[in-house]
Amino acid sequence: MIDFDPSTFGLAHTYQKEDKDEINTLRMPSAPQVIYKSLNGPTQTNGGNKLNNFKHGTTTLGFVFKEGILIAVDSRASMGSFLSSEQVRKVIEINEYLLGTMAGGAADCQYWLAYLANHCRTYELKNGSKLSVAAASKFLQGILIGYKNSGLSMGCMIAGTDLSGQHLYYIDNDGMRLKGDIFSVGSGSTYAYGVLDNHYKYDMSVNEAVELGIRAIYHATHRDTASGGVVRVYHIHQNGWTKVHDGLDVVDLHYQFAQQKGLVGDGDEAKQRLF
Amino acid sequence: MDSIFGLQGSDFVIVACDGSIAHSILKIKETEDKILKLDDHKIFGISGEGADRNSFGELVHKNHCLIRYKTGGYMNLKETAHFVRSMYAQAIRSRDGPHQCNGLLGGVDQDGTPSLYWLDYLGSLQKITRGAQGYANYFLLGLLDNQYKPNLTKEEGIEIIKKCIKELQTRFLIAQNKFIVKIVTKQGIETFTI
Repeated sequence: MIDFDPSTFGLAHTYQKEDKDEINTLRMPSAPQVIYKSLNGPTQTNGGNKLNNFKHGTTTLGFVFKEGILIAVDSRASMGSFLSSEQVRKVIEINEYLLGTMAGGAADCQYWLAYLANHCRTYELKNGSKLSVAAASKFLQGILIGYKNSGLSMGCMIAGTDLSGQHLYYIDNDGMRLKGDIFSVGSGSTYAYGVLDNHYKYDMSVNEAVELGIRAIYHATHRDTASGGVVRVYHIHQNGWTKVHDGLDVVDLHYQFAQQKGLVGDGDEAKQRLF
Repeated sequence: MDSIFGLQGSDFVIVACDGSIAHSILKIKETEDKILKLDDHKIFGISGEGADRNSFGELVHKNHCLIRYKTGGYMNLKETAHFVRSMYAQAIRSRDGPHQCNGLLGGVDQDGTPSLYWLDYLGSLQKITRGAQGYANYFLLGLLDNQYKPNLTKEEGIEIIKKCIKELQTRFLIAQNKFIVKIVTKQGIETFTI
């Protein structure tokens, strides 16, 4: 019989005198909860409420402008009301010229984007030239059409550079692939769109674009409970991609932006007097 | 929620579509071209959910190319319409079910005769002079019936389509701001955005 001190596993206080016989049996602590189940918390169908069925707790955005493409994402993962992580990396670096953003199921996005990375590299080795963004996104679309209705959850953007320029595609688990200039995906996307649509111009400089991306994500994280953490910003240009910001805390941004307006940032702009 | 509508005149066919792609309450894109160009004188406007529209459109386009390659280069409108119908019909009792999209196929034959066909996801096929797919039916059929007369000229046709667009923008609950209009004549396909 293996002899274990009950306090080894921190269970000393739970032992009753009657359990003396079981003191010598091995008691393992229960396995830790799976933290990284998905980005959307407990899986539950909304009972048919399709209207609010956004691609889960996140805000990701991307837009094309004169100097390339800007991608900005938040970094929060929540399981219901529990924040499982504030440091998730929602931009997946497929290779040096392609980026994928993650919204929906983390596992699905990570796996299939890694699969895409594998395919791109194999193509490059076999054919001697890099896969175009259009072809890479089409390949992913083909896979997702094959798995249609089997429960995959992905709302990702594929952005990259190839010989014909920088391109942005939106791909989702229904098999839809759309080429466009401005996309935002996730539960906070509506808030981000508001800021994006208002300030977007094709002829922005890189700094202006970065500022716009940061602001749009900040506003989404401020209003959407399922988005938050830090803002990560990437810029795609003709030579590949650059990580412009790795982690700008949205709380700091809140006070920074409030100060720019001459406010404190405590939310009491209406000066409500209760007494 | 896609609006596809079309009109056939004396020597032309017009097919118009709205450009918006929606996802629950969001309009993801406003400039999506839902009218597929099958060849220089045939267009196929497809209405349906994103992936189905895309994948069925590509299926039709590539199979159309393949048949033309195998049989010597040209398929007239009637053959094309029947071929697309058969693609729909083959799918209805298949494992994946019917292709979830409807279409309006229009074009002009080599001798200059225009035709417009209405195609359904279950394989219905009807040759028409004016028609629409989706909710646009409810708003536009009355107007199209009222405005249509035999042997329309191209300019008259475009005017009628503009009136249809205005009607949708006035009465349809869903705001559809951009429309893509394609006209096929013996000279080819013209595209413009309204």
